[in-house]
Amino acid sequence: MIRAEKLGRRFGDYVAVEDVNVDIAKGEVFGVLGPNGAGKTTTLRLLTGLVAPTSGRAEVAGISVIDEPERVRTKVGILTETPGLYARLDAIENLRFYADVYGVNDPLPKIQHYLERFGLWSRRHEPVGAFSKGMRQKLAIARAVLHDPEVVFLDEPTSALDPESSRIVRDLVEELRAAGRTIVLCTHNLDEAERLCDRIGVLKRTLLHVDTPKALRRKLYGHLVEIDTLGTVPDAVLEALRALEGVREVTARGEGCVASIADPRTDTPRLVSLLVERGVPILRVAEQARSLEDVYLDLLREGGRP
Amino acid sequence: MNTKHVLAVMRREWLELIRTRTLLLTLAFVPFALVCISIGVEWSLSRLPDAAFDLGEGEVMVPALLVRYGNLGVRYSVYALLNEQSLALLLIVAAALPSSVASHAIVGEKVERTLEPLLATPIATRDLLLAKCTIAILPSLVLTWLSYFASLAGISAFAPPSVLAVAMRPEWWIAYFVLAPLLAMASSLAAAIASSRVSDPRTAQGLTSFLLIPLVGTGISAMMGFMSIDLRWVAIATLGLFSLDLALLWIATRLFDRETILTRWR
Repeated sequence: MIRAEKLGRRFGDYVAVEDVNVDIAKGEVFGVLGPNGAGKTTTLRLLTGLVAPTSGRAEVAGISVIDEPERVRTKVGILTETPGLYARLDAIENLRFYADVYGVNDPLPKIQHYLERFGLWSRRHEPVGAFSKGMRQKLAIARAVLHDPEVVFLDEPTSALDPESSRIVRDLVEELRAAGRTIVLCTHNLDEAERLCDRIGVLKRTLLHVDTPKALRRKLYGHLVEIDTLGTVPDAVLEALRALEGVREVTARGEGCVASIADPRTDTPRLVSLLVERGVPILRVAEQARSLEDVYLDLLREGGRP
Repeated sequence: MNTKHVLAVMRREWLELIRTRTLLLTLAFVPFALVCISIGVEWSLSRLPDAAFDLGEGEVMVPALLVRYGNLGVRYSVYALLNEQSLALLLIVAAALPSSVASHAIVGEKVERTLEPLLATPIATRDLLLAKCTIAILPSLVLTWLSYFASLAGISAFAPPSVLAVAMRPEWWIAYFVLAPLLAMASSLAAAIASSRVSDPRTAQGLTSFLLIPLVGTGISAMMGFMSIDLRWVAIATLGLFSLDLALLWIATRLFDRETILTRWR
């Protein structure tokens, strides 16, 4: 549904995005993670035909963003960084305008559906300027999906939303996925990315890694094993643990240590045996779930490919 | 041209415009003041004794006035001249006011951050600009026409029908109802062009005024008799302004670079 090959964009000497290669399938939810200034917004603009690439090519719904950007824009819905709503118009007028522009037939039932869904129906006649940040964000999301686009780009959809509203948005994303819509989700919310996305791309000017959230963690960092001991682990024992096959890193942590290993089924028994051999009393051994946030931050620190 | 897109943008622009009361009141102030001055002058003239118009043979303006206004006599020729000057000044309203609305319609969208979602829609640049510029000229045209009718009412209240007839000459009707809309559209499109290159509405308005000076100057010279007006002149002016509008729309569309507007304006 979305294909980018060596996609890049320069602004003068400044390289905003370069060498982005990605293939996103129909019905996939693809997360884009990256720090501020990583090129997320530029990538979204490139894929929606708002900005032309200076290198590479991209297709959305089979249409080239270079040759037919206007046609691409008929196929996509976008939630921009800021809601960008008309403050003097009310919620219905805002959505009505976009429905007209996208040629939605009989838009009022759809508008009512989304406003009710986002809890905005009772405030439908108020100027949007009087809405809270969260209400505007919900209205902007409704605007992005109102015309039932094949591809939906959501830039930070749950920022400014309370937990209940965030859940409504997540449910909507699930629903769109079930309906075969392709979704590109830019977010800083790693928990959300992990829960919603089929695959995640870590972007820092280029896509550093693309994989499922689970595979990303495993491929890059293996598993973490937490071992609590009675007393601290002597340095000599830590060195011995580090020298074991399959062990990538061992760090002391209070009374115990944390080891990064390749395969828990073979490497954990080795760790335990060595500690027992060296007379270190073990209180507890547990696999530590490494959060996507840890992976993400480490990745950005490295700033390169594994 | 996608008529549905144009109408959708026009409808939305209109809804926004009628809710921007401060802007509308500001727009109304200049024509209102001009009409008040015009009626005030008319009233003052009507209170002057005939002797005040006994200018004598040495007055150089008198022969020219009598030639221009025929059998009105000195007193009513002076009335007619001042009225025509006011009517010509009112025409500037039609040319100047749309630029401020059009500047806000484009730069304002960027300032309020509504431009990106709008540009992400399939609306073609030409349709977007045409819709915005069309709505931008409406308030000034309505104000210009109301001012014209208010001026006519003032003239009829304080001057004889022969003076009113001068202000209702076909040239004035054509100026107000054919040339003024074309001039307003030129002003609006010039503002769109200026707005495409700058990110501040005031700078855009300043640039537009600069672009419009020759147009307004020509129009006023013509109306004031420094250029001879006849049907041929009117036809040429109409055709010229219409062509100018088309050319400005083309230039505005070419210069409205979505990418630059999105990425460079801060």
